[in-house]
Amino acid sequence: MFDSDPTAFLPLNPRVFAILLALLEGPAHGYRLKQAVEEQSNGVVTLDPGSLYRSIAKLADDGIIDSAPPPISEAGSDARRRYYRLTELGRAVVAAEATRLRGLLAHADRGRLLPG
Amino acid sequence: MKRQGAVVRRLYRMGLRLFPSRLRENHGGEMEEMFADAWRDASRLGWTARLRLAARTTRDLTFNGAAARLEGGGGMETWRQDIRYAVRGLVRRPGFALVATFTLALGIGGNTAIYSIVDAAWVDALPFPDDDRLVVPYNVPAPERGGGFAAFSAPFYAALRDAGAFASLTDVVPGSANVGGEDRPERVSAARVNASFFDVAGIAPAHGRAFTEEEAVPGGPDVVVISHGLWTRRFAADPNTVGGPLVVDGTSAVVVGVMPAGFDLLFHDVDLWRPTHVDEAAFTSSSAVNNNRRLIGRLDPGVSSGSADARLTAAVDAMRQRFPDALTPSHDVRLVPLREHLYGSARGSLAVLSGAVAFVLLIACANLANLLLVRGEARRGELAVRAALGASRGRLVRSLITESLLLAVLGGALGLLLATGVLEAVRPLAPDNIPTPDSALDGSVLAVTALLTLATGVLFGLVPAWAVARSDLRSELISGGQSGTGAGRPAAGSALVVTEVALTAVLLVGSGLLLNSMWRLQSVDPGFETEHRTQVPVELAAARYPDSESALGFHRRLVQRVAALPGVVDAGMGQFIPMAGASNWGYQVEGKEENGVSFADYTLITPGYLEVMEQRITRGRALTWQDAEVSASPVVLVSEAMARRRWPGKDPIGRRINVNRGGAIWREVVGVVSDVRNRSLGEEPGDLLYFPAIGLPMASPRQMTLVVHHANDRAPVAEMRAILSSLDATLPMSRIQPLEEVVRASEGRRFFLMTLLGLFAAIALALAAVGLYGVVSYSVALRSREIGLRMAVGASRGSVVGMVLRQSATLVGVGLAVGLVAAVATSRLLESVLFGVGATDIGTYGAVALFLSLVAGLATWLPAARATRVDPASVLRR
Repeated sequence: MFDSDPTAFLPLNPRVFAILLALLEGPAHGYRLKQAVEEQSNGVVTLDPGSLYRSIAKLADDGIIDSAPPPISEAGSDARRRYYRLTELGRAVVAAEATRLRGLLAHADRGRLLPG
Repeated sequence: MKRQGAVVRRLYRMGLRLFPSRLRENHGGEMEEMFADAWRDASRLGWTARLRLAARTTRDLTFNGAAARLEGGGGMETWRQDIRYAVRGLVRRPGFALVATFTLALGIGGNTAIYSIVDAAWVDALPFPDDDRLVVPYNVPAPERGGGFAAFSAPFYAALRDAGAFASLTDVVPGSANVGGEDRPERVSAARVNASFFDVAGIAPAHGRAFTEEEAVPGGPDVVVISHGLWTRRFAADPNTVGGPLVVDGTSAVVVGVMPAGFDLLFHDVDLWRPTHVDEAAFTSSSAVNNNRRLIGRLDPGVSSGSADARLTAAVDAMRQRFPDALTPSHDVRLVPLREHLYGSARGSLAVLSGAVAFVLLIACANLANLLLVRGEARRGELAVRAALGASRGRLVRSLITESLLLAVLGGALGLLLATGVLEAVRPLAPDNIPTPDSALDGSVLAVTALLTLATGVLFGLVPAWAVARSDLRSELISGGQSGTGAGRPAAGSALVVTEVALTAVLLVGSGLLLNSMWRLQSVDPGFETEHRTQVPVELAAARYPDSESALGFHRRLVQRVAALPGVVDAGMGQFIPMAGASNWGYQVEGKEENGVSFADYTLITPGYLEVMEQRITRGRALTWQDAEVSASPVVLVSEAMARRRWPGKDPIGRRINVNRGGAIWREVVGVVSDVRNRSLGEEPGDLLYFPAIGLPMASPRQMTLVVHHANDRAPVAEMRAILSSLDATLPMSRIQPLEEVVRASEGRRFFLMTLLGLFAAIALALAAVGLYGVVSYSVALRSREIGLRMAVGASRGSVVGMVLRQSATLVGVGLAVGLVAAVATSRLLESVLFGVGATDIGTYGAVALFLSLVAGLATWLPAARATRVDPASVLRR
């Protein structure tokens, strides 16, 4: 199905995971990804351009994301901006990471660490 | 502003070069835009925000650029080959590698150490949540003259607190306390704070809790919060301390909380916080001028700075209406960010030190460029062979740069170690306004060091690489590498020598001026004697000594028993010892009430004090124990400077002054005391009042300092301790200090600057001498044939040495001229710390020129003399 095994990329760096989660909502450009990640973490994580685009370049090289045409609604807004979307492999990687995290959470729950 | 933005963008584009080219082409534009946005936001917040963004961006680009290159893997094989080749080259010449690494380590280490101080003061977040919202209000009586001070009276505090400009505003009254009772009594720094203190800090106790509003009321329970230090020291960090008792100033209090380690706000080393309250019913016109508290507030994010200002102005007006005498007509309150309050005064010193270390690094780079040039010359043959075997010119240049980068990395690593050592060494010297972080290994410091290392490596590697790139390698091969005259080389070497000498001259002038100032300060007469004098602070608990009489009785017994000890010449007590913290207070002169209130420093003293300090009574009489009794008529002594200023040409004895506001109590001047420099050696003596040790509106005789004049070096500490504990077993005895140390500490800032600047100047001088030596040695070696010829045809050794000396003298002369002119411009930065010398002191400049010429002469003479030892015959045979 894939050239690569999705689980080979796990565990994901939390920053990378946050970027991929943001892309689940649809194609986005770098700036939008930065904002999404910072919102997700309530402002605790700030993504500087260097670390953001290094992650993007790495994800593209690994085939987890690829570039996408700008969505119709934003077409022509800024030609220089590149849009990215999740590949099939990318979706599988996000799912695999989420499954891994759920396992961890279940483990923590057995130790009665979690409230409620 | 726009211009600055363009420059910053260009710098950012340069930084992007750290990334692999593919990533840069794909994303560089967007990265730049994103950075430009962040820069615009930061610019709106002020220059510290810009500095922080710059530091963060440096870290971001350096780390992620390097990581992306490693991940990319492209061209790694070539890199690996270059690195292997460079390592082999260095191993073959360990002497060269060692000298180069050390030179770089000095330059990079010095820069890292100073940058980590700058980082701690201006870049790192202060250890409080939302630290940017913390502000310290300043009391500004004369806005047209600027300045102001960070102290307020209780009524003024209450007015500001209720102004609605702050989310929370709290007051701190500094002081000290005796803890422990008879069980290991100890004197600690203490602060009285109200319940909102811990809210403003945004930091809760690590154990237990803070005070509640109910506890901070008059007659409330005796509760204290203690520091982590006191908790570990006294209670061995026992968690059960919370809720337990602690004797404070003779009464038993309950410890309700323990603060986390390292917590301090506004005052350093506070061990104990006690609740205080502002009793609005007790406000009087006298309490309205007693500026005994510091304030710190947290700005309300919902209040704009404009409306905060308006509310503060309204509060000042309300205060003026209620207490017209306490405020001037143009009185103002200014909010200073906490960071600025703590470190603002050190900005000049840090700028000077940053400049000095940058010079040291430039000199180190110049030396290395020169070393590599010489090596490049020696390796022309080798490079020619590699070129002939198919290595492109670009590849050769790249392998040379790799070599210099490798050296830079080694030097940078060693420099980090050095930096940690430097920080360790300067910590005890650093004044309060210069933070010294525990180690240099902080993220943004590491990034700056890495960047410095890279920049250095490229900078000094480019010079020899450029020489290779423009040379004709083919003819080199044909001639067997023998003919290399290195046409570009002597010029490059000369330029490097001129630069080094100029930079060194600037540093030497700076440290020379400071040394000169320190030397002049040493010879200033402070007006009192410090040798064989020791001070012992004594603080009596209010619970045990409720009034002046009981305190006076204690002081009298203490002074008389200590004075009777064998080996003690004199003993006495004073409230403020010169240069150990002064305080001033307003007074009126009888018959000149219409002139209003003047201000003078004051102190309380007991008999014996002036004798210990060797201050003379120039008119009238000294104070006696009877003067301090409640029934005695009120008297005062004044300093000579004050007598001259207030009663020029007249006898001050019998005149009267008043220091009580509302309801005058006239005190008769009974004596005039010789002048002392009360605040620092650099300040002329001023008005100084000496009161007997009785209760005054601004002072209590419970806090005094015993000063002892002992016959030899050893102060009778054990005997004094025995006397103190026999008089009152709950009294601790700590912070015993020779007076000489007290005076030295008051010159801490100058001493700190002088030590560091002197150290950097010494390193610069050594590096420049080595550099000059290298350049001359090499040029002499190149000309050994010519020198041999000259000597064969009859030139004397002296004339040959003279010829070499003359050539280098020209270079040194040009360097000196440039350096001294530059020093005139840069030394203005030092003006505020100079004493008795101007920034353009001819003597200092002359001494530097002479000294530098001598060192340069020596560095030239050694290789020149060696050159004349060649055997002319053997040269001719070659």
